[in-house]
Amino acid sequence: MSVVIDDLHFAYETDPVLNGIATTARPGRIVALIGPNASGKSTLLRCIIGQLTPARGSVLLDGRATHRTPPHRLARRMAYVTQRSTVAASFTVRQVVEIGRFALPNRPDRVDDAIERLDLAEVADRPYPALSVGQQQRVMLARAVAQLGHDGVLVLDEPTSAMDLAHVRMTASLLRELASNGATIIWAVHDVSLAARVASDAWLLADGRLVDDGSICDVMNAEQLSRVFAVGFEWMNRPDGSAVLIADA
Amino acid sequence: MAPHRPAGSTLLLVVALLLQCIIGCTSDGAPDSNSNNPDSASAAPVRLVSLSPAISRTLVDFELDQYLVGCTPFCPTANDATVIGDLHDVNHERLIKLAPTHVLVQPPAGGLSDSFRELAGRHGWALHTWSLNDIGDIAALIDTMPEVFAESAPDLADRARQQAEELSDRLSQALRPLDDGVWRGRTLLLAGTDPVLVYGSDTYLDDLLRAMGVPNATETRHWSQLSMEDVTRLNPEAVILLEAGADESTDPLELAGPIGRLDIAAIRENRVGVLTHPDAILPSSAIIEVAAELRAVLNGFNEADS
Amino acid sequence: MSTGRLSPTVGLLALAALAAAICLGRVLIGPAADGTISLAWPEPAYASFRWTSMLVGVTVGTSLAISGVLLQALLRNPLASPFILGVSSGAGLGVMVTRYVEHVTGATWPLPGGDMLPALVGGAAALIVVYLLGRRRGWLDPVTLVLVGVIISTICGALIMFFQHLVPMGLRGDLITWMMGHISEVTPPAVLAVNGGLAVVGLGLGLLLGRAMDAATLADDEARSVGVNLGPLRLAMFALAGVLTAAAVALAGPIGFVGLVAPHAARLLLGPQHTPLVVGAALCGVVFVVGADVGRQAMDFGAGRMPVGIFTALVGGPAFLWLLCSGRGQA
Repeated sequence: MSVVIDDLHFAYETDPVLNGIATTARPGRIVALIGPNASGKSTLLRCIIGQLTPARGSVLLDGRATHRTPPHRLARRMAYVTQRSTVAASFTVRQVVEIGRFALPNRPDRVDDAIERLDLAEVADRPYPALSVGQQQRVMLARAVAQLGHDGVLVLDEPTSAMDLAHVRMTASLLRELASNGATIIWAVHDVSLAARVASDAWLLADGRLVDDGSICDVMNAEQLSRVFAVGFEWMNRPDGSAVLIADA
Repeated sequence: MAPHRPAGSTLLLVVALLLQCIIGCTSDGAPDSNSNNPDSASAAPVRLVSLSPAISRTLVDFELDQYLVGCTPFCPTANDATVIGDLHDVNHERLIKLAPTHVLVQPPAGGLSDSFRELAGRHGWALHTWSLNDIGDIAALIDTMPEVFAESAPDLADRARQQAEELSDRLSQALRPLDDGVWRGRTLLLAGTDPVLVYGSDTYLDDLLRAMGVPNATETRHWSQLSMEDVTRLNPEAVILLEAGADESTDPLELAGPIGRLDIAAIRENRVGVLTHPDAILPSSAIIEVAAELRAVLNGFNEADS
Repeated sequence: MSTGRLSPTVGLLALAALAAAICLGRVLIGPAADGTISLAWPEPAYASFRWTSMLVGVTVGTSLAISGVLLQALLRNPLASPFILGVSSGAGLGVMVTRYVEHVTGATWPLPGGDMLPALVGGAAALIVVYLLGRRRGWLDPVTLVLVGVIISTICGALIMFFQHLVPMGLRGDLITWMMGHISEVTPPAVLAVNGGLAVVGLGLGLLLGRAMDAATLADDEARSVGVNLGPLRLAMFALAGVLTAAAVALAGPIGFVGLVAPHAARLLLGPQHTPLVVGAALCGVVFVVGADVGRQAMDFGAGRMPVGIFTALVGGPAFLWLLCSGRGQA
């Protein structure tokens, strides 16, 4: 299921945040949304999930603008995880993951599977507020996984920022697996090296404008990144033949 | 464009305003000796301030309310005395400007504050206090009221003594037992119907009932809240509802609300009455009129019963 | 803690409270008092009083407890209670204004149902004002709602005091009596039917909204992403909580702490999911109000039966502090 962003403009009051974004995320692809702070990444994600109403243009899913799609209908095709999720109740991990099925038929097997895949079985009956931030991020990913069908759209805003390295790697392989099953993944991420390793495509954002979009190799050229982030970048070859992107920070 | 006003006329206006202020302040500062005192020609002008609606109500019966220059917002007096708040919140500035000769007070339970006594002493006000907790206190208020004026206005005191004598007689008459043969069953005095609030012992109205030889149906004290079940169990033979200012033509059963639908002797035997006197709960000489109304209601029960 | 095992406890407690409301002897005041506490089926002369007060207690307890659950979810704040929307102070103002107009015009209106009508009008008016001012971009905003509710409560409180300032002491006492709450034993059947019906509808709608309330505990963006239409949901929760509170306050005056403590007690016993919570809180509300009405009947400190609102506050206050200090009353 493709997400088509068509000449998207957005402003808070009179302060423009997004200017004429136009691009597409396709099924089976992981799109890394990268850019410096305040470049408009989170705002773009909130426009994609239909939470914000664009000043001009739109985000289309199946040809229909997401901000005009009723939430219960959108929820069947698109899941969203934010960087720091709060839950205003002492739900257990399982109960939070079950919330992902709110607009969908009850499927305990999908809930169990999501808990299993995010390595949460041991804490499934513990209260969500008692977990570490990294664990809470995994719970929210599990919630989205329980919600998402195999051809759905997963919109993620820094979902791994507090995770330990082992769980970051686990999450990365999960995203690859979901994509290989046909999901469309849009993933805002600060760690450009991680994005370069995991994503297949990238959108590079600066000052509310789309600087570049395309395959990860095209977008993530060291020179362009250095210009946008004002930090030096370098691709380095590893002994196994793969390349890693190193920031000169 | 606004018309141009010459500087001279502006100055005149300011001077006129200033003069008006000065004149106003002067006249405001001195007591207005003509305002309320018809006896201003006599020895000393009497200027009364009452900080108690009950005392003010008693002054009305003494025909002394014409000397009132200051009172509380709730004092039942017909003249245009200045409102100066009540004992809990006196407008001291206004009180001092009124330059009273006598200040009459019903002190709170903790007694009158030293600062108020000191203020009275400083301004030369004669302070008179009465605690009004039962009918004996009201009788004492009536008896001692004339002495307020004994020194400052002997003529007034003499006149007040005659009034006091008359009021005392009327009070004794009002409190006499009901005539022989008149019905005197257990009566419940109601302040509210849902929740049921009743006047128990230690209330003026209970004093009145007992003085007339009528038993109060409840043995609770003060102002008590009962349940409907309590009322049914007490099974009063008469109920009297206090509804100050109610239209006398209104059906007592309608005013009694849910009480009127209870299975109690009072309802079955149609002994439901209403006291409408506006000052029924004021511990003042108005109790004479309230007693008369209560007597009439009780006598009415007698007729209904016979 | 196994919530499944504990859920019958609330039901049994509710049954015990209902049985006590009907069967517990109340001869503690008056010539028939002998100081003993009896347990027997009521004599016919008193049966209707006990059934009526029990049903009023059930209605008020259910309404306030469900309203508390709805508002704590709506405002995302475990300290929210039904009176935070200004309904009780609005109702109090309605009662006070009626007293004042009666005082000024010299009229007395023996309104059917006593203070019920003015309380209902005042409560509803406060609710409408809070709704109109508690919105942002067309939809209710929790933070704005709390602020507006608190401010409207304060303004109504000040207006109550203003009108009290204008009337003699005797009339001031009338409002104080109303503020203490009262479970009437002689509520007209029609009034009871309407209020009871509202409580049942409240329970049904509360159950229907249960899963949406669970999902609405997520942050706004995420709640929408799982399919919650937050605007209409919040409007429904606000309207339902407001109507239930206004009806309960009109029926029995502002009985405090029920809407705050009952949801917390239920959460402690049944966990935080809203569908069981609505039922559990309703049962806890019934236990609390009916139990308090039975308890107050046994207390006389020289001024007759203790008003129910004082009892609930005196019991509910320490109970809430215990929940708060033991850290078990978390949302």
